[in-house]
Amino acid sequence: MKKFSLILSVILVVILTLSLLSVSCAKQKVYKIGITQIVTHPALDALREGFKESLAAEGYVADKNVTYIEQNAEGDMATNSTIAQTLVSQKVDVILGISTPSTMAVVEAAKGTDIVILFGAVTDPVAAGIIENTEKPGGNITGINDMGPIDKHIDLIKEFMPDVKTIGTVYNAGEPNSVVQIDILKKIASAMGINLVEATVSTTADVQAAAESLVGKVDTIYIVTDNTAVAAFDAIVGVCEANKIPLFAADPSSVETGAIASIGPSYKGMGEDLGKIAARIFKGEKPGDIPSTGGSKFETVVNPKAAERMGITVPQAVLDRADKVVGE
Amino acid sequence: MEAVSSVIAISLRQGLAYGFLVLGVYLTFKVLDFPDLTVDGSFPLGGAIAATFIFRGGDPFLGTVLAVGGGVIAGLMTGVLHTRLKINKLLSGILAMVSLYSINLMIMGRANVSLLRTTTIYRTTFKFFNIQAGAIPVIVFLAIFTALILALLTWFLSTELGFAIRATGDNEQMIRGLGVNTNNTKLICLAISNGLVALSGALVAQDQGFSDIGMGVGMIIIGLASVIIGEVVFPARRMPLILLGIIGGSIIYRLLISTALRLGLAPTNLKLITAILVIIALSIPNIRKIFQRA
Amino acid sequence: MENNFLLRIESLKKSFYKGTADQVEALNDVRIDIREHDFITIVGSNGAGKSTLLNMIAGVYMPDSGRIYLKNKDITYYPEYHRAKYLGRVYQDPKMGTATHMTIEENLSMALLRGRERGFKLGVNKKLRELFYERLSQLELGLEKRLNAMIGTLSGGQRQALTLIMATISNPMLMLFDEHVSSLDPRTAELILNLTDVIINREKITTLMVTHNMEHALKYGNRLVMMHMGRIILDLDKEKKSNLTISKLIHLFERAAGEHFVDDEALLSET
Repeated sequence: MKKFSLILSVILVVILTLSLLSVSCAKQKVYKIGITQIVTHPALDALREGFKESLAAEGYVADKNVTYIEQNAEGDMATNSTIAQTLVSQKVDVILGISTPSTMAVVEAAKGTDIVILFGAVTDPVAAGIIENTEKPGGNITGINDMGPIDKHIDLIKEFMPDVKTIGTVYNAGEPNSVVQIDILKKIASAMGINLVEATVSTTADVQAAAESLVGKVDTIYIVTDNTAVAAFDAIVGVCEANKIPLFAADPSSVETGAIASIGPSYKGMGEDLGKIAARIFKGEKPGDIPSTGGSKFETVVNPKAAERMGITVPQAVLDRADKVVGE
Repeated sequence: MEAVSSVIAISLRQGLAYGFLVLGVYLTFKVLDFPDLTVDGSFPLGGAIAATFIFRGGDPFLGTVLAVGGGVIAGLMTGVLHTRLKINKLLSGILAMVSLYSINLMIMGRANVSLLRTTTIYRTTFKFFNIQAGAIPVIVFLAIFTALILALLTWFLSTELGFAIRATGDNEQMIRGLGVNTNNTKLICLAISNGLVALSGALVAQDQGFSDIGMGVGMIIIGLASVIIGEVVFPARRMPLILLGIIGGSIIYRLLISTALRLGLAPTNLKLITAILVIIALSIPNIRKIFQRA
Repeated sequence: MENNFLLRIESLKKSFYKGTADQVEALNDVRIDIREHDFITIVGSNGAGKSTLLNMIAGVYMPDSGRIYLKNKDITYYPEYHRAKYLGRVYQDPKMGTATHMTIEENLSMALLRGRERGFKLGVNKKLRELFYERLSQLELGLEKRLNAMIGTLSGGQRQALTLIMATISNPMLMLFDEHVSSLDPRTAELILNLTDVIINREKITTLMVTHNMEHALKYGNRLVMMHMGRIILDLDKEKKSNLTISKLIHLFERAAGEHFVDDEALLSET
């Protein structure tokens, strides 16, 4: 009798242990996350890193319960499509699209599946047809848009130059993200009674001449996150320093390369926001219920030496609250 | 196994969609002996026309036909630059390509037109036949389309006019001496070629869900690499098989890229590898000569 | 101006590299009347202007002054492709007369349509193949059995023979031969020349044949023309021609040109 009950108890314990183990094994789901990026670029790279770090902070660590498949199309549209289709065929759980074309290719390729799609570094997801509205995107898609807080930028400019009357800008009309921002800039400027003078370019080779065309016509120059103008930023800085025209930019990294000041959504911060969203989804929230917003972290970056070279001083209030002071 | 079948599916799908572009490059580069860089501009032109037309509510089939028309005009533009204004072949193509960049922007009104929420030639067809959307139906659609175009091209290149065009690239002096106006044969060939390239652009844009101003960058190299792979892997002498081999080249090129991606190799070097491939293949006849002298 | 000449050339002048130190008077007042069915051999030293004359007739170059009449039509400034329907040409380089990457029957098809509009009819059909078979078998080179062979697989002699057929298959008004056997080996050259002679005499095609070889010039044709420094200095009809040997011909030249005949190749061909 005793022997029998002993054996029975052992068997029971073994069964219990095994079932407990299998239950915790079931809880140990490994999430497959695909990341597709359109091109190598510090801001996009920072977003990607922020995403992975914040997911790890939420308990989803690479090679433990998360596997990453990271791809970069390096600017080739055909490869961009191949990557999208490949990730979908690899039956990943989530795809993070970094940039508008990367995301669009993924949205098309993932139609008919229930792969979750997150997007970052997309300026206007509604115009791109990625989601229908930002409050409740619906479906399996949500993300963070990277539209710079242009209103905050103009306020910043007014802090430096309260009497500013005319703002000049250089951008490539071929970039949809730029056109969106310029339209917003026009509305803000006109509401504030400020004139906007535009100089458009189609390649980096045209940027210097465009900047020079603004000399004498504007009080200050402000550059949105336009890839072409930012790529030739040195030329614009040169023109502004030579002619003592204060230069501001929507992209904080441009402050390091010679603009006076900016407030930007931190790309790393947006990546972190996306990581948190991903964690919420893993915990059961529906992506379509999570509103698509802008980034939550902003940084004020100031370059006092640049200001000096352009003949202007940084207001003390700005200096006090700056997150980063850069430049030599 | 699933990995292999999905890589094959992706390669077929993209290989066939880009196949029309490769046919176009074959017609100018190999048949007419005219290195035509217009391709980098006429490919996104096809995408731009089709996408913008569809986005504004137009019928996708009509949009695709209009795209082909646009490509034809682009080819004629290059042809006129070369035959009437006597600008050299490469420069004519480059000038056309550069002009098309601005034209494509004007057509789209922005750098990117989304087809994610519109109909497309594929969706309309699948709806008509009550088929679920997916990779296989797209492949079948493209395969049928390709077969039609191949039959048409084979027929055309066997006509009197087709002979004259082929001879223009093979021995222009001879065919001129036979009374053929080679200015016209060049125009016709460039028009047909870029029409095919624009067709490819329209089909690709509708498959990937958007048209983008950057779609055309590097297309001439991809086209050449595919033509060369096709000729090497599927050597043929009769025309229908040659053309089939060209399509095969397109599929194999996409297969190489898909496989590389699937294996985790970085696409960073893809363009370089493609360029090297083209250099090797183009210089094979000269390399032989070098070895013969040594 | 009424005349019954097939081709009349009046006072043709042409210089190249005008105004530079390299200026050369390729044609210096050339005039000649060519009758229908004439088979004229043209000889001369290097630089005499023989090829230039042929190219001028074909429309490859335009003259500086002078006129060319084809059957009363003034074709002096017609572009090349406009004159093509009247002319057949065989060049010195066997590669020039055929399309390397196309087949024999495709080449013949193109030659048959000389000067005509090309449309959407299939280039080759059963009836045409029979015609090609018949014409090619006359060459006795076996080419009629290889209608689908690519030109690139043929030898120089075979290509030249094919070019000959291609040039004559559409019954041109005038045939122009520009040293068309000089790059062939002697045996093949002989073969091609015989074929040339047979075809021309059978179809009675008016012919201009430029040759480097005095013996050939004397042997073939009914008229011999000799050029020197852009001018025609001798024009011998059949009778005068038939009595000549090469050395006599050279003496005639020296008398007409007033200088020694300097052309090793032509001299060496004297047997």
